[in-house]
Amino acid sequence: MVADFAPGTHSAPPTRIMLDLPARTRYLTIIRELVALAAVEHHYPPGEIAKTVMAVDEACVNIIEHAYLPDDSRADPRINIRVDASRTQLAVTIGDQAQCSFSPAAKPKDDIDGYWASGAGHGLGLVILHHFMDRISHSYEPGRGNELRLIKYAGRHQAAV
Amino acid sequence: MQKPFEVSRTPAHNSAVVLHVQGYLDAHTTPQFEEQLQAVRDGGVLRIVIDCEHLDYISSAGLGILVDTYRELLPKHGEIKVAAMTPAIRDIFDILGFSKIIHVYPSVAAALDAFDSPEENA
Repeated sequence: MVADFAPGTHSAPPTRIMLDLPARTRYLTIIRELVALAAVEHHYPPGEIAKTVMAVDEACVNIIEHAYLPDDSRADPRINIRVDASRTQLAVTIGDQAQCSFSPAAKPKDDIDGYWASGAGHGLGLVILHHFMDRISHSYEPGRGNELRLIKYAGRHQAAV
Repeated sequence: MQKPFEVSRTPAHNSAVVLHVQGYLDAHTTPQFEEQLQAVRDGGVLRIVIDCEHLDYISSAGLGILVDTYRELLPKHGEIKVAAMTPAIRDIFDILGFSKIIHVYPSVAAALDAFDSPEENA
């Protein structure tokens, strides 16, 4: 997608925020507010902040509901968030310790029009992720878990991966 | 920081029910919303308005419930409408194509009036 905005001139130093939370949906509000706060500090436009917040929310829900399998024996599954915000980009890295590779980085077969044309069933979260973010990358290391990185670029077009 | 999610309902004059939603409608709170919607449908109500004036966020889970309800009501000649969305939520609704399916109104009164509009029922 095209991100044709610029955060403007300001002197705020880059912001890094790290958070470790239980992988439970009740904590999604904290994650959303954290991302929004960092983006606001660097003057990202409200519309782009809303899209980024929604994409991060959807990614976290995927992890909470799908990456951690129901038979996962760990007592306290966690989700790790790192937000790096600057005048050039807003990057959100989401980590888990799931025992399976769960990659939302592969582009879904449907875009938004395709989602509706195919009957608008499941998979909207993935469509949102790819439509709202400029770059998505994923890695998985057995024994350590998944790391998903979502990037919103400021000021110029960047092709989605 | 965290705003409680609340749903309340009020009957309207034309056999419609208005559901007033407040706070964040996300993966955590959607079951509560779905339960309320189901209770309304179980009561035989075919005209539902979702008052979004105090809705601060909606995720794909919440959007999915709206579409599911729309689809359930359509063959029964019923409809779900949404009203009074904030500009931010309206933008998301439009970008994702939901406003092509579910009618959006500036106010609850406008949504309720539309149920009786000959143009809409044509």
